[in-house]
Amino acid sequence: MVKRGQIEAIGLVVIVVLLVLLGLFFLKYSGKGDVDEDRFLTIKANNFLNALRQVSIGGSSFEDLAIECCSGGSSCAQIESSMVANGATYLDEDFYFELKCVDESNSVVKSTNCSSTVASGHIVLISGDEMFVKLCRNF
Amino acid sequence: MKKGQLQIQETAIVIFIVTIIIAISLIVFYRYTVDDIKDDNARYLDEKAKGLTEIISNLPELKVSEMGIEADWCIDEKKAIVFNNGFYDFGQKRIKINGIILYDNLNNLVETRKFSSPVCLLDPVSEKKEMAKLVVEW
Amino acid sequence: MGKKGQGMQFNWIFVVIAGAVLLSMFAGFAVKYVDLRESRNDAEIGRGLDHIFLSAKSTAQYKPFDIGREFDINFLCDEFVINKEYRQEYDYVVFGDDAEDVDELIIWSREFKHPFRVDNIIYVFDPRKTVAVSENVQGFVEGLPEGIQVVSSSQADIVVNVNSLPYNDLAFVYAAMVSNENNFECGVRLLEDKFKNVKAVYYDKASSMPGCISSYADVKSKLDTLFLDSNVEELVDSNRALSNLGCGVVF
Repeated sequence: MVKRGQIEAIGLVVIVVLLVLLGLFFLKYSGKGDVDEDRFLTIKANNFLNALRQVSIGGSSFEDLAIECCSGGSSCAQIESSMVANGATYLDEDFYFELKCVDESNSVVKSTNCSSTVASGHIVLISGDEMFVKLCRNF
Repeated sequence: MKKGQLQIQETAIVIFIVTIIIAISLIVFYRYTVDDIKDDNARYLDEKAKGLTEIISNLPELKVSEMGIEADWCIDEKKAIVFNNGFYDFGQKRIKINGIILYDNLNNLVETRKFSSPVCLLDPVSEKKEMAKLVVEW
Repeated sequence: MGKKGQGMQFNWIFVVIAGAVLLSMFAGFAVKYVDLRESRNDAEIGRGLDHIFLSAKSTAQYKPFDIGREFDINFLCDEFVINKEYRQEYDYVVFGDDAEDVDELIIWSREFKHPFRVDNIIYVFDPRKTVAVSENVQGFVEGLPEGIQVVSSSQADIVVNVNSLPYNDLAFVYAAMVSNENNFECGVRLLEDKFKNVKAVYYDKASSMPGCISSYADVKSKLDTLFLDSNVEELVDSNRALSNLGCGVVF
């Protein structure tokens, strides 16, 4: 009788040990990777905006033309095509772009179909208009 | 006597098996932890490689500087052309911006990973800025 | 009857041996695991510091490093060592001194220009220490980050002898303040090499710029004779002159 009890107790110990180890395995495998990728995607999005605002178009910078577009000038088409072309060439990911004017009248938007985007920081131009970009996460 | 011997043997076998199971579990757990640390290290090296884009674009040997004022995330094309002079050691990597190779120490690695970041590239002669791709391969 | 007694004896001996084996196995595992965890912690501290140093290289900043547990740090020529075990190599200019049982470090970086930016120098300081300078240095106190106690020479743990420094720049006063002799010499040497490299890049850039030939030649000749203890005003004027002539500046 005592023997049977001993064996059962030892069996229980073995099961508990195995369960604990299995549990530890699962805990460690639960996803860590995504956070790091998002961080670099965010850096990339910020870099794109910083570079884009400085790009020369004709004799002016993208930023100057964006300000002109927001104040009712004719440069909106120019900055839209420049932004699309630069994004397609220098970004590996699909992206969303918006030039949000202070008076919201002449905004430029490039939309995207992807469902999962990483937000960039946005840039506020000296005129108060804002630009921001969201990159799509590659799965 | 036989009954006693049997009892001893049973106990011995049970304890032996339990010991083996626990020993194997501990060894597996230990090896798993070591592998986890190796993965951590690989992830860290990856992060360092990707972080190089920020470091490179801020180096005074590359960054646009006009009368003491520096432009963020903007690289001087003339500086980039003369940069690859062997001063820096970034390990086994290749770093280039558009067609210009800034650093090449890949040593014919077969499988490589890439990370790229947009930057601006200034031609100090025409003073025109265009967008460029800074690529780190490792 | 005797044999039953012998059976009991064997059982006990067996249990004791089995118990000892199990115990030593667990103890061995525990020791190995603790070693592994400590190595991991050391690596985390080392990498955390490396990460902060690298981001400080990109932008001048100040950051307290507080991880909530004590550690030892030793600064050698091109590496630092955590808890005398984990070694982290680096090839950038960082000045620091050995510290034991420290749980907080003050880390700040500062641009070094002569006249163009040469580097962002990183300084690592143990806030438990107090500092003083042998004579008044303009901007010394204002340039220090929060948390560093400046006291009189008689009370200070560290007194910087300004007259013994190789170059007359605040950067070297801070460097002498935070580092030990070996690390200071190595850091200064690396900074000198870095300066030569940046100077060479600007020299080559000046060689490749078209037009304004004599002006670029003037800048090149001044770059050639530029050292860390040289006056920079003439070079700055020559560079500015390029802009006045409508040519691209060198730096």
